[in-house]
Amino acid sequence: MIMSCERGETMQNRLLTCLEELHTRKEGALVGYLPAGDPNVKTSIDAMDAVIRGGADILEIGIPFSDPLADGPAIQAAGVRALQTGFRLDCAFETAWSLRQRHSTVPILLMTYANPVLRCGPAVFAKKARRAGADGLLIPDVPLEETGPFEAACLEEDLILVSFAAPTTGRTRLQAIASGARGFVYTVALTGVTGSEAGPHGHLRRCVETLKNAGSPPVMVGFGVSTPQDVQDLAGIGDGVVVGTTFVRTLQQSLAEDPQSAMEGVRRLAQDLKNALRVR
Amino acid sequence: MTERNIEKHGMQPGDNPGPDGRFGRHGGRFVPETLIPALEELAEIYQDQINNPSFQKTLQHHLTSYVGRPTPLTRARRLERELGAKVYFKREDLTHTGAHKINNTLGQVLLARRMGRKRIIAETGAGQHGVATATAAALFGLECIVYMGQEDIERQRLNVFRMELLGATVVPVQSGSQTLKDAINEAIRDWVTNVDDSYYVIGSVVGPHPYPVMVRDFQRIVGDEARSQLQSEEGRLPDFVVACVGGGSNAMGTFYPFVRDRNVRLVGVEAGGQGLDNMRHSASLTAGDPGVLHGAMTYLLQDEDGQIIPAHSVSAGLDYPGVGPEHAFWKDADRVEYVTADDADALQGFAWLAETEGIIPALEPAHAIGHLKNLPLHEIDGEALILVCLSGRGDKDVAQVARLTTEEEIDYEL
Repeated sequence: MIMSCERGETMQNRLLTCLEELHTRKEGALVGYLPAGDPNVKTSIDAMDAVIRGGADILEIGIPFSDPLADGPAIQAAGVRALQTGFRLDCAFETAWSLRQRHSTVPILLMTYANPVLRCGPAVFAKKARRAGADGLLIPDVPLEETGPFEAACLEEDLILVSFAAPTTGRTRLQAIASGARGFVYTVALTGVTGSEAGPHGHLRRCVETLKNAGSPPVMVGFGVSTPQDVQDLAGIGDGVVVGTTFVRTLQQSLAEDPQSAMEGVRRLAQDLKNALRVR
Repeated sequence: MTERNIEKHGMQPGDNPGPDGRFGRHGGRFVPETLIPALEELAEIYQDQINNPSFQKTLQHHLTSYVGRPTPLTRARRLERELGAKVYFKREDLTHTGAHKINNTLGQVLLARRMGRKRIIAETGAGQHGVATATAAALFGLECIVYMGQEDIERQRLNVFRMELLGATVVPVQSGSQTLKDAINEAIRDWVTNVDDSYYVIGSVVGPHPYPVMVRDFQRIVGDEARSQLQSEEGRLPDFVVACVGGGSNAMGTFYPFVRDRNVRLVGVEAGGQGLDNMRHSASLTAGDPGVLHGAMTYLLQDEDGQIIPAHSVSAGLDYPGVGPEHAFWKDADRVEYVTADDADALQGFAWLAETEGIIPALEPAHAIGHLKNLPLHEIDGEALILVCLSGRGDKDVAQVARLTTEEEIDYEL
């Protein structure tokens, strides 16, 4: 493995650099999510590459898990397909590394649940992530109180453990989340799971404002964000959006219709979503 | 590591966790942020209500007049002669709905009502907790949604029909292994979506804080009653208390009132399924490793990558790859002996109690009964006194046992 793309000791975390640049350009961020290994490792890498080529600023790689309780049916099914093909944890690191070789500056985040990290050992997991060229972790079942060992491991490897906020979170707690957050705060747009169609929660705007007033880093809004119109609607609320389920569905549909041009469908979706974020 | 951890937390078996919900290194709250405020609210209201005389009075009233408590303590004289020890069964099989599950669902549904929630969510494996939740919801006129794995629905048609009779909506779960663990995932997904108006009635001493504490407190009536009944019958504490452990709620309820009595040996019997070697079992305490599932740190069946391995047991009620975090702590603290009884042991226990005492037990407590012959009775001076939790009746399992004992030629004769 050629390690030339691994971040040097002095180089700033790519996520921080990227967020600064977006701020300067006054652009909303597109965080594009796809699960690793669906329908197989190679195809998922090509699809993630298409997400980046289409204009995603940040790539979020989902690590398939047997019990993904924050995810809706589309992402669950993708994880099951991946695990059925024999997907192992190391395949996720190989996926990140492969994309890092193609894209030297795009921030790569790994999304996983607590158990695979604990099983591997947070320190070993973080080291492997860093070596694979990743810049941070998202662990949706690790709320503020449980971050201890995960945050320590991330700090050791100069990774960013992304904090979560929700429309149900109270004011004091939002302030605590904002002041401890690094990189960005992932705010869920609704009460529900990924891919929900309920529309943003009535408290979303107030939630983001509270975070901002408490000195939060950029706020990305995710869950139920699927069309350029959704993106435009949310663009005024946060600093960017996280889109996942729509990429999973588009990839699956495009592969079924015409495997030859499937990646073009994924790339175009990323492009349309990103364009909606440039109009601010 | 274990001892150091207990020392660090200064926690002893029987102690309540702090606001972090930690039993030593186990427990906690590993759920999406969306649910944290709801869990904090629940913990607060629960603490308030459990000490509230009017809540207790209402709960006691329903436990007496509806559930049929206190349940009897039955001495097993013919079984005793074969075993060579004095044995008492705590008869949770005689409650309304036929299992200990109702103690918990009644308590939680009363709590939901006090919180003004009109919609009740539950998960179920074999259907016993689903039936008990649907029963409590019907009693108070609340909407009830029960998530059940597609595979379990096919295995337990009768319980599906029971829940529907009781007015509940049974939602088939087709994700993952389509069993109990996936039904819990789906119930949590419903709760995360409808957190503003729904109440999640979890079925065992599992899940994020405060569920393990709350379910334990609603189930401890089993051990409290048995302890005082045994005192009046025998004038002393038992040498052994034996209960089966899946998620662990009947064992928790039975053990908890004895946990500070160091001379009482507590024995938790897990489902050994088809044997510990081939991973076709449900023995998460005996053969699992620590990890996080359904909101808590505890012992789990998992592979090298931390993927959860589906459990197996002849008894659907023990078929769960995790276990309550307080049991995990009691294991680390060496307070409870956790052992296994495999499918054949359970079928033997099932037949043994039926033949000797005229009681058909559920397959879950049949594991505890099947283990009795393996208890180290010789380590007790004089005649051993054993308390067994008979957590449910066996009507639901009769057809399955008939099928197993005739088709698969499992030898269930003692």
